[in-house]
Amino acid sequence: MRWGTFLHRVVVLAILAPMYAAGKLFAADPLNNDPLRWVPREANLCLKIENPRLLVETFLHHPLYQQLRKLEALQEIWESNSLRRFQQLIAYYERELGKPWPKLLDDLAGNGIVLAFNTQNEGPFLLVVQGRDANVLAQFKDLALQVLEQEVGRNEAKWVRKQATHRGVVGYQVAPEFYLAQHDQILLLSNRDTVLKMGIDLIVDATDKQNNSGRPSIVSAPELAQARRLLSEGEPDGKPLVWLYGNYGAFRQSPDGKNLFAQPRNDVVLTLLFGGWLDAMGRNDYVAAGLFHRGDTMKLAIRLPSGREGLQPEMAAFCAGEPGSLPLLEPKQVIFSHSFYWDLGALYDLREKLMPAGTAKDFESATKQASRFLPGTTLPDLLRGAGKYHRLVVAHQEKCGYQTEPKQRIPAFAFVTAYRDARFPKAMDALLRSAALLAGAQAQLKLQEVTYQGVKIVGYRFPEDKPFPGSDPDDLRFNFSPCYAQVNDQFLVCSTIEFCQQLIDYLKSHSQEKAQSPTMQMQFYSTGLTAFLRSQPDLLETAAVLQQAVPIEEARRQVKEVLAYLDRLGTLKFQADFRPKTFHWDMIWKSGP
Amino acid sequence: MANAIDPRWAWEAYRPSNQQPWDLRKVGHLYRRAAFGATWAELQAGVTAGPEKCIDQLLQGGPGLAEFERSTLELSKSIRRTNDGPQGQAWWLYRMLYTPHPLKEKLTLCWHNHFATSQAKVQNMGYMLGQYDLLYRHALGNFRQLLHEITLDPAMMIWLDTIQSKKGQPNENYARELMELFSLGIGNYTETDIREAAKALTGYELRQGKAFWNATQHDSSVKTVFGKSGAFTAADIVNLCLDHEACPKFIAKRLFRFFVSETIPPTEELLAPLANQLRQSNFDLAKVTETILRSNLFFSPQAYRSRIKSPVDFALGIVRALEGRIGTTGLVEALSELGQRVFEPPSVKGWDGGATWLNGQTLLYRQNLALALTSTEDPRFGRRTDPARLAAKYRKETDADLVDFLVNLFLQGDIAPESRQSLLKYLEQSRHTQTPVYWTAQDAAEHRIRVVCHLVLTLPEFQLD
Repeated sequence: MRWGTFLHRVVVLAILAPMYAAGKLFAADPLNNDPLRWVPREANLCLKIENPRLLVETFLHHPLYQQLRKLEALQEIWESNSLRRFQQLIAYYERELGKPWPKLLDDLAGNGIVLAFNTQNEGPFLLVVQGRDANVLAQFKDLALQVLEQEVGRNEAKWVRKQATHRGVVGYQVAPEFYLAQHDQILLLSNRDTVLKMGIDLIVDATDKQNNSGRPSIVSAPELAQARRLLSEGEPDGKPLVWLYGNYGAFRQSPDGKNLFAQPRNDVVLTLLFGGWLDAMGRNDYVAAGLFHRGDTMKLAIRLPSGREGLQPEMAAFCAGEPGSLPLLEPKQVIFSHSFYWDLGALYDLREKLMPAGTAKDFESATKQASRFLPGTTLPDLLRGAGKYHRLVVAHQEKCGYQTEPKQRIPAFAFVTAYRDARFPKAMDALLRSAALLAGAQAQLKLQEVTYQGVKIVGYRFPEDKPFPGSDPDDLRFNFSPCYAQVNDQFLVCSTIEFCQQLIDYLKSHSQEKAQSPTMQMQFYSTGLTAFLRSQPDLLETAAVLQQAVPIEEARRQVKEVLAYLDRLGTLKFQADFRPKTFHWDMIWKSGP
Repeated sequence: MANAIDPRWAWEAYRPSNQQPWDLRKVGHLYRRAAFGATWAELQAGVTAGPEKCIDQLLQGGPGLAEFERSTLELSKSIRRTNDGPQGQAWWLYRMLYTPHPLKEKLTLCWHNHFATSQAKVQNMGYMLGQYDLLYRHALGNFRQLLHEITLDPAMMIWLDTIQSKKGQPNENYARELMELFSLGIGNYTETDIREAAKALTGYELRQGKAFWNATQHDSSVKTVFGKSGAFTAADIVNLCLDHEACPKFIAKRLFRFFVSETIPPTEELLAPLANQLRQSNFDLAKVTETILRSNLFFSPQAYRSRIKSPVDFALGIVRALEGRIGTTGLVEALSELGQRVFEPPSVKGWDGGATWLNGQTLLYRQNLALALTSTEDPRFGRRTDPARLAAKYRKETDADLVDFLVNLFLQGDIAPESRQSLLKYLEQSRHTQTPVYWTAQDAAEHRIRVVCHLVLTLPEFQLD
């Protein structure tokens, strides 16, 4: 081997060896590029963006965002000075750093961004940005400091940037509660210098084993990894755009936490509305949430590591077993549909475990009082006879059921409940007829019994040929013809007879549908909403004129365009599901008509 | 000093002279009091036109009024239906801003304050807009007719409880305010007059949104009011008030305070010519308004900038001067912070006005609103009211030109020399202030214009009407 060749190899090795060593060091740790490493263990709330560029591009490339940019009604926002200045700022960084923003974002934050809080200690935060190019990040930091100082100067704030070094890393105080430091590919920001120093300690500790501060990182918390795993379970690619880990263990142990999670709790309304969810929360210390995107669907998923197994027995009122709920009712031009589990009989029978002693007693005596007014039954029997599965649905109806059009349209709505005792519909019939008799005498309601598809509908209508005794200058009463009916084991109470007929058709044609796992489902439908809005466009046109002072013709065009856009927004669904070992709460936005 | 005002001189038509020339200041004054401020073009045109033509134009209104009224009536329909109070307020502000007949709109606001009725109690925007229609229709019409119709106006009937006044249980609210606040003033009636008049006002109900006389609930007994007796009804009581000698004086005083001054003592001698004109013309409001607007006293130094701008005048004056076509929804909340929500006066006495418009908080809110309207960064108004665009339109390129333009536009030159110097100094200093590196030179230049415009609007002089 020639000497020159040997020397060349030594030099190359001398350069490559540290790089290799460093590479080994990082490669040995799968989290080496994870900005979570630099977050102190004291943090109890962390929000992480895995790939900022992907997140931004997901939204910017979304067809609905593209269409939103073209809406005439919003042009003023896109052309606003604030947005223009933001674009100028981006262009400035692109120009100075010599790269287009997507590449720049990769270089500056390609390994992720974490925003961490400690919600207990007056909320200090730490923002960790981990890039891929230390040089670009350093230049960016210098430019950002310059811009910040100019902004501070422009606002005539008397503040001079301060600088200090901690373990060889330079930190800056650029405003009274704004600290910043950069080390290699990592940028740290905080509102407390102590927290910034903690972040620096963790960064330096990674390479300086001799002077290790011994400070633990949040990544050493086993719950964090569990939370991340929990989120990925059941997701097709398992990768959220943004995810969150929240540890509320300390809150759970606090007096407020104990009050919230104790059973029976003093706040009965909270128990009735969220009893099951709070029970699941109260059995562990952390929550995980993530935002997922796949095709035309965006999902915000919240997960708890405790589910149906281990629920307190009295929670049977809110989720006893499968199935969790019946399918959503989706008649034509549905605006909103809700299906949920609520065992009214169990609620009554378990009242002493669900409510504080005094409230349970009051409840019991109130039911006794109410029973006196129920013909042929008692309230406890009525509650036990009612089913566990309930549905609520709101839909737009093209035609009004009267000759007289109300001056303002109100969508039709219905409550549909499954019953388990054949005496339930009879009891309800007697109850509703008595109530209608009382109300009808004042409002001059007329009984109308209709048989539709073999189903008897008992309804009431307002007379159109007589003046209304009360005050109703807008004829709002003509939005209503209250009625009820029963289809198989479903009891329906509807706001109009026409909607009741529509639901009878629907229930008959969907009788084979299977019940579903979530204990609560709730969905909004943009097409139904726009159909309703289209039925009274002048409301939106007036709003457009008064908001923008545009001529009425332009307002009409804008409203038409906005409604067409709303049509494409699709559905927004919320659901809660008790799985055997986990609790899932999802918000799912599915775009498209 | 007030004693020195000669009533004859006061109400004689103003003629320009060397001491009292017709200039930008007079035009600005006229547009502030009889409209909602002026644009630069209107100020210039007013100076050229002279007082007679300028006032003629304000009295008659501009072209396109019928179409404007038709289109805004159309807009109001959905507000009536939805009973949307804030939108109703935005609707009226929209009319004030863009009407071709600002004097009529301004007088409607005057009568709204006179017959102060609030949606807070009425809770029916359809009725409130109905009352607005009534006030607007008679704003430059006949007070006799206005008083008759307002008595049986649905919103007023709810506001002052006429609908609850029944035979044997008369409610005195409307009878009292009819005499005290609407037509005569304290000292011109007795408690007995009120009690007796209240009996005459029984039996008026609302049916299908309209006043309905229910004879069975009406007290048809003989009542004695102002010394006259009869089986009076509501219309009789209104006529008795209108025929009372105090009524024309009371209305003349109201118009004097609204158009001329809240500080000059409205003595009987001073107001006698106006009261006589009202009496002789059978309460013709257009005629007496014309007399006031053309008068020496209206254009006198005693009246000039002698009032505090109301929030509506303050805000709309800025928007009109900046020639901005903004939506008015955003103004509703801003004006509420400043203390004036149209359709929601604080009490049956209306807004106190005058110095009560200003306190530490409302002054701060006025500055914030001025900033929102001039910075172009507030999402409610965006770039629609941009002083930089206005300066470019009128080619104000030097600092001195710009300051003079803004001072003439907003203050018609009424500024202390040292304030003018301060504005110029700011502009000079701002040339050396470092702006963010990503701003263009045009950004920086426009920013200076917007800031100096905001400074003009925060001068104490701009608070004066």
